[in-house]
Parts: sequence; structure tokens; C-alpha cells
Amino acid sequence: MTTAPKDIREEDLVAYVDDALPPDRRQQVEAYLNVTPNAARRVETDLAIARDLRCAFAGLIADQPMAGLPLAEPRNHMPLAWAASVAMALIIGGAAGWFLRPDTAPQSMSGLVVEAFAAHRTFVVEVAHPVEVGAEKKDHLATWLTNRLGRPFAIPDLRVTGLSLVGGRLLPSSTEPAAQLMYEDGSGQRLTLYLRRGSDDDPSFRFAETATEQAFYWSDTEFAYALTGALPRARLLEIAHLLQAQFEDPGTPN
Amino acid sequence: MPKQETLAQEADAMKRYAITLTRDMHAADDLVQDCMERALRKWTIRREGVPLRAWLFTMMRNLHVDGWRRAKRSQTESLETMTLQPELPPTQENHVELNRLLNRVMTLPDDQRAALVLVTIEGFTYREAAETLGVPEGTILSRVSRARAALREATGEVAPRLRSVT
Repeated sequence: MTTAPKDIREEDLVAYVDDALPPDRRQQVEAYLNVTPNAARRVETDLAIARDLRCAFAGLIADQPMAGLPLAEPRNHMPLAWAASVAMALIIGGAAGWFLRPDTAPQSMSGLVVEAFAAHRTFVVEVAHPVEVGAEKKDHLATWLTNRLGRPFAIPDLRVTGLSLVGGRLLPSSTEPAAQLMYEDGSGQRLTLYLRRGSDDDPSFRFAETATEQAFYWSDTEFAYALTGALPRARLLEIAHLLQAQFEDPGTPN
Repeated sequence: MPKQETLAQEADAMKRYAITLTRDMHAADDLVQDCMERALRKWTIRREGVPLRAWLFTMMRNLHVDGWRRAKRSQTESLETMTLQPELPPTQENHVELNRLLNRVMTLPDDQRAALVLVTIEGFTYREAAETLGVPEGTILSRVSRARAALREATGEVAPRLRSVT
């Protein structure tokens, strides 16, 4: 052995872990580690931590598709004008394509609609337990869904269309947790909004129906939404517009 | 390549660094968005030879440091209380262990955390990290050294820290 393992400094061990040493210095450090089990263990631990850290950060952003896209200027709070909101949604739709990573590429929306119809049928007929958290605990519901869905979540207010909140619940879906919010009108007619992560990033409203219910569904950069109910199509669409506007504008007081 | 596409390729790295700076997933999203807006506006005055990522990170840190927090706080009072700590979902392999590590990293002093992430996660050289953070290379090394010592200590590994010349 020609290189004596001596005069190894803290910086050498740090740089060794980062593979930032010139080859000859690296050799000297390796020789030192060979005869210094303490230091060798330390370096191994550091390397393992570095690997874990990369893994953890990769997991953090894999779980959170990019939400951000540069609109011209930071928005001020807008009035609840759905026309403006729809216009913005169209801009987002056009601009967002290049912001999606390959693994969050457009997904089929058919799964969403199937899930939404199933959830709707299961719970709107419930008399005793239509929801898990009732409207009287609306703030709690919002906090809970914020945590579980991993997004800021304000419960949309549909009173302007004569619908009051019944409450909401968390539901399993094939990928991430989904949420269902239930509303009803004065005659007890119920509507549900189903949403979950996994969108095709298409803000336009699309329509689906079964023998008994109808749904409008759409998505934004991260989430997909389906509004389901047995209502006239025009009325359902009006409510869908209102919902989209409220989800577009996080500053809307609820 | 159009600047938007070029920028979009940096989105993941920007998000990682934004999480490092803000320690909050929501705030990180906002910071990335603000930084992308500014980057697009300033695109044409970017100096030749400055690596894009280093340029973006410097910009992001400036945004974060001067006034971004303050501005956000006054703008969106309602969102201010709603923080979302960086945390892996239970579906992620080893999520308990990795979340513990994330927690520790987030409690490191800001300077140490930034240096550690630039070097370890983004693969910056010490020189690039030094330029991005505006400190000498030796300072980067000692911050990474201290950050690693703290993380190591938390694993219960008793290991020597060597004499240092700096």
C-alpha cells in the first residue's frame, strides 16, 4: 500500500459520500475506511441516508402532480362569475399540457363516472346515514377532506341554486381516496359531487347518463369531478358550472 | 425548444426545492408557480452560461426570502393556517421510515437543509451549490457535514466526526 491512510479530514468523508473527490484522494479515503471500521460505518450510514432522502423526495412529488402553471399574474379574488371562470379554465386546459409529467398523463375518465354513479346510487337512498360527516360539521369536513385528498378543500356552497349541503364522506377508489359531497333541494331531491385525484386535465363539461341518473363530469389539472343527480340536464349543467367556478377560485368564502 | 417546455422539464426539481424552502406542500406549489411566472418574464435576460436550474433555484430562494411569505400571508389569510407537511402516503414503500427521515430533514436549520438537498438530491457540485446559495464552497461543505451529523445522530449511529480544517 503506497498511500498512507492518514490526514483524512471531515471534508474528505463528506465529499466521499457525494463522490466529489479527485481519484487519488478518493483512493486515500478508501484505504482509510478499510482500516477504520467506525468511519466506514459512518460513511455507509451517510450513503444510506442520501439514498433514502432521494427516495423520499421522489415519493413526495410523485404523489403530487404539478399543480402550478404560470398564468400571467397572480389572481386576485374573483367574484363568482362562472363565465370568467370557464374562460380561465379553457386557458388552463390549453396551457397545461406541457406541465403534465408522463406518469400523470391523461387518464380515462370512464372510471370516474362509473365510480361516481355507483357512489351516488349507494348513498342518495340512505335515510339514516346518507353522509359520514353532516353539514353541521362543515368545517371539520373541509379539514378532513383537505388532509385526506391532499389539497386545499373548501366545501362548495350551492345555496344560490336552492341546494343545501347534506354532508360528505370519504370513499375508496382504485387509486387515491375519493370524496363525495351530497346536496339536496327543498323537495328532498339529492345530488352528489364525486371527486378524486387523477384527471385528464380537460375542464370542458362532459355528459353521461344511466336509466335513472345523469352526470356532468370535468377535471382540472389535478382532480376529476362528477356531478350526479336525477335532474333536468340544463339544471345539472348550471350547478356544474357553479361548482367548477368555486373550485377554480380558492379564495371564495364558503 | 420553447421556453415553456424547457421550464416544464424543471418542474420536478423546482417542486423539490420549493418543499425544501417552505416545508409545506401547499406553499411549495404556490412558490413553484410564482417562480415559473417570474422565470418566463425574465427569460430573455438570463445570462449565458448560467445553468438553468441554478438560475431558477436562486430566483426561487429570493422569492421565498424576500417578501413571498409576507405577501402570501396578507393576501390569503384563510390559507395561511392550512399547512400540509411533506409526508409520503402509506402506499409508498418504507413510508414510516422515510417520513421519519423527512421530518428530521425539515427540522434542520434552513441553511443546512438547503445545502444538503442541493448536493444530495439535485446533485449540485459544491461550487454550484455555493453559487446558488451565495456562500463559499467551504461553507457548503460544513453545512452538509453538520446536516449529515444531525441525521446520523437521529439514526442512533454513533460515529466519529473528524477534525476539520475549516
